[in-house]
Amino acid sequence: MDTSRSVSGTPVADEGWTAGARLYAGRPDPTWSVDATSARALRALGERLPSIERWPSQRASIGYRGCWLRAPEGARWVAYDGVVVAESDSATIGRRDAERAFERAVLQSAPAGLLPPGLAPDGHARKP
Amino acid sequence: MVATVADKGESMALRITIDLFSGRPNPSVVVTGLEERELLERLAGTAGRGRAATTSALPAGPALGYRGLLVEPIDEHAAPAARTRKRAPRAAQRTRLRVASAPDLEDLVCSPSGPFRAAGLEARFFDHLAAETARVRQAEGFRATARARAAAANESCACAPLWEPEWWNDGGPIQAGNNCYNYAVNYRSDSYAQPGRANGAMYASISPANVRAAALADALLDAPLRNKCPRKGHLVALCVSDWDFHWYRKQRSGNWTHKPGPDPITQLDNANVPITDPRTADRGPYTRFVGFLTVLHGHVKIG
Repeated sequence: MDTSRSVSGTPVADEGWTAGARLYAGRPDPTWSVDATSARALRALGERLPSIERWPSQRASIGYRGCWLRAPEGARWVAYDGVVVAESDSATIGRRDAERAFERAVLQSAPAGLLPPGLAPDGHARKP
Repeated sequence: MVATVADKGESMALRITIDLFSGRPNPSVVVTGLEERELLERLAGTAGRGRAATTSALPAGPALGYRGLLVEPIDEHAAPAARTRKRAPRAAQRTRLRVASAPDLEDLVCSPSGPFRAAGLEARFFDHLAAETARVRQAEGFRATARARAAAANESCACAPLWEPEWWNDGGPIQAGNNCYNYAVNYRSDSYAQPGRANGAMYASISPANVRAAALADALLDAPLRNKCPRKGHLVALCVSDWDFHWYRKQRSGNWTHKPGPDPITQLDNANVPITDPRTADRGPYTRFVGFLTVLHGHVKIG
């Protein structure tokens, strides 16, 4: 598998990145593949966010609840309620994303028509 | 056996007051000896048989007319209850006690041949007292009926599922592989069950009619009784958004719970409020309430 280097020096695989929205209660949530260029950009964006000591847990609710990006090796970035939580085998790091830039970028990487129209992280799309 | 003062021939004293008037002083007598013992035995029986009678050291609520009997030992050093073989209510051993809705005791006390026979009361007083006690008992009957109806309206759902977060919220295959439909039907398929799919009748698109028809194909039943526990099985509720469906289930407690997709089950709606009726809960984008359905256990097939 071809790899390049991320800004933090860990390899970024060219294939196998996926993303998804935590959106539905009955149907399976939408997931999609993310190309390597977009994945690198998303990862760099996430790593530029300021780290935080504590962050809220995910709320139990229906409707849009956040989104995620997953690396081929299993690392995952989960965005919700203005934070991004990066989870890997070695660590879990919380970052503040007050502008929801990472969350918005992940959603914008979805293929056209996959997500409900008008879905935006700041609008939550919880109520039409 | 507890020896009684009466057995030793000592005097006993108990003041009985009929709490009846609002302007005039209430009639009151002091009873002793065998008569006091009989009263205390009836009082003990009232407290011990789990009847509707009430004995309380508290004042009566605001009411005109007959409000009960006041029973009061008048010698603090020789509490009459301590001198009887049967135990009187603990409160009667130390303080004045109000007794109401105790027909055995009240009939004895309020009878013209009872302890008030020598109190100088007119015959019409006893007629009035009999009418008053009858009125109060009838009112108590009405209240008991109303309480029973209210209890029935808030009945627990004996056949409904239990609240089992430790089972569904395992953070692993059960939680991730089962959605709101699995949870509502109370069937773990680990397949993220879709209405109708197990019976070749999965909804073609999301609409109230389509999802409801698919659920009926899975052998769920329409429940026209609305938010009422069925005699058999348990109640579920369906709502839809433009893009998805969502199910709730009525718990044994009578409240409703749900599972937001792969997330943990919860008892709260989107406003963090317990759900007493899914029609009025904060359902986020699932704004179209479709209806209630019944799950007959063992009849439903989902997948």
